[in-house]
Amino acid sequence: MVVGSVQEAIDNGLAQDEKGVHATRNTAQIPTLIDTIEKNKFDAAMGGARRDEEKARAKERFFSHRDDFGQWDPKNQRPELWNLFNGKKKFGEHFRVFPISNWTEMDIWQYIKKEKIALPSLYFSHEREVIRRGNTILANSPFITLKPNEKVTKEIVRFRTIGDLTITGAVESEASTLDHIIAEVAAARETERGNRADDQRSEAAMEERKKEGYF
Amino acid sequence: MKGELLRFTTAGSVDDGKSTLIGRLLYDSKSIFQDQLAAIENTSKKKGLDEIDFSLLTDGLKDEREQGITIDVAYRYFNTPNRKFIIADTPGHIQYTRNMVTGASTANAALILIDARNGVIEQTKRHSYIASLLQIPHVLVCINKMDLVDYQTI
Ligand SMILES: Nc1nc2c(ncn2[C@@H]2O[C@H](COP(=O)(O)OP(=O)(O)OP(=O)(O)O)[C@@H](O)[C@H]2O)c(=O)[nH]1
Ligand SMILES: [Mg+2]
Repeated sequence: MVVGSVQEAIDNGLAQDEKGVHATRNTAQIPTLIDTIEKNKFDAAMGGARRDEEKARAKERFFSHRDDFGQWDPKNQRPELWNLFNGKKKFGEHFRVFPISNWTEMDIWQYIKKEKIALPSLYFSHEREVIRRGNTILANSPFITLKPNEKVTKEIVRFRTIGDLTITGAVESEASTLDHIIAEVAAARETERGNRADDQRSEAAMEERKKEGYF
Repeated sequence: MKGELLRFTTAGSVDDGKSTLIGRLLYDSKSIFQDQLAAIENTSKKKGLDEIDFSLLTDGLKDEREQGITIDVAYRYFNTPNRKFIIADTPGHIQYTRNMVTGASTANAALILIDARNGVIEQTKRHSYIASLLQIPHVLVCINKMDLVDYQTI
């Protein structure tokens, strides 16, 4: 198996660690991913991103072209009719492929239930040390820097989406079974990624990162 | 979720109100999440608008928001107790017709918008022709911006 490692990319000077209270390795994934694709001469990288997650992801093709620098040009995407995919590319370019682009958060949970897929415990309700920062509930960890007024408390939470520990907000939840989670998702008033600090950095945070090569 | 899937697309000339209609439809059917609504409210205020600009819900790209037009097709999902829907909100601008075709190719129904002030114009005809070429089984014509002609019939 080929593994692209953010830590190695940082050690090699390919990616940099951010500094300060909001430091995260989220963007360090970009050069790591592009470098791994380039080194292995991959033609395509498959991902589980979905259009319903976020407003820039809502614009994605199933078969999405990336140029020689791994960049996405959302203003100039290729036509994609029916289920015909255009795999034509020049040397050094690649595709990002999103087979479950049209699935919703609810579809995912119903599929997991139907196929009885095992999941990491983080998705289910559990007690955890957390820090409340703005509207988000961040997990306490050695990788987080507390602001002077912030304190660590214990709360019953689960994760609706899982990214880096430093930017993924938990949700208050008692949902400990699949049925419980499905009911919770059906009644949700906030979006799945609403607690992701990486999307909140600016209005176009996801689009900007995707243009640079983020998944 | 039970029930069939209906996929529909918007069509019609630039600025006829396609994205606004979709945003409004999602708002009225309570399919917009609180944080999404807060975000587009905030952006509308920053643009100096008194009301929420519902086109911001599908016009998610930076350039679309700066130029006030749809550039590429955006997909949105919602459901009622009986049905699931996938909406493709497509651009009206002639330059982006290929993106309209992309969205329309998988649709079972097309909503063709017409600005009451302009009537049927070049892009309305082009999009209608594309809908027919793609054999989209259901086509609905929506007359929009009737407020701007004092709801008169001519
Ligand atoms: N007065 C009035 N204005 C409307 C109505 N519907 C939409 N508008 C306005 O018309 C302008 C264009 O609306 P959009 O929804 O962006 O139009 P569109 O058809 O999606 O445009 P493109 O996607 O770029 O082709 C916006 O300023 C809307 O606020 C309406 O019923 N009445
Ligand atoms: Mg539009």
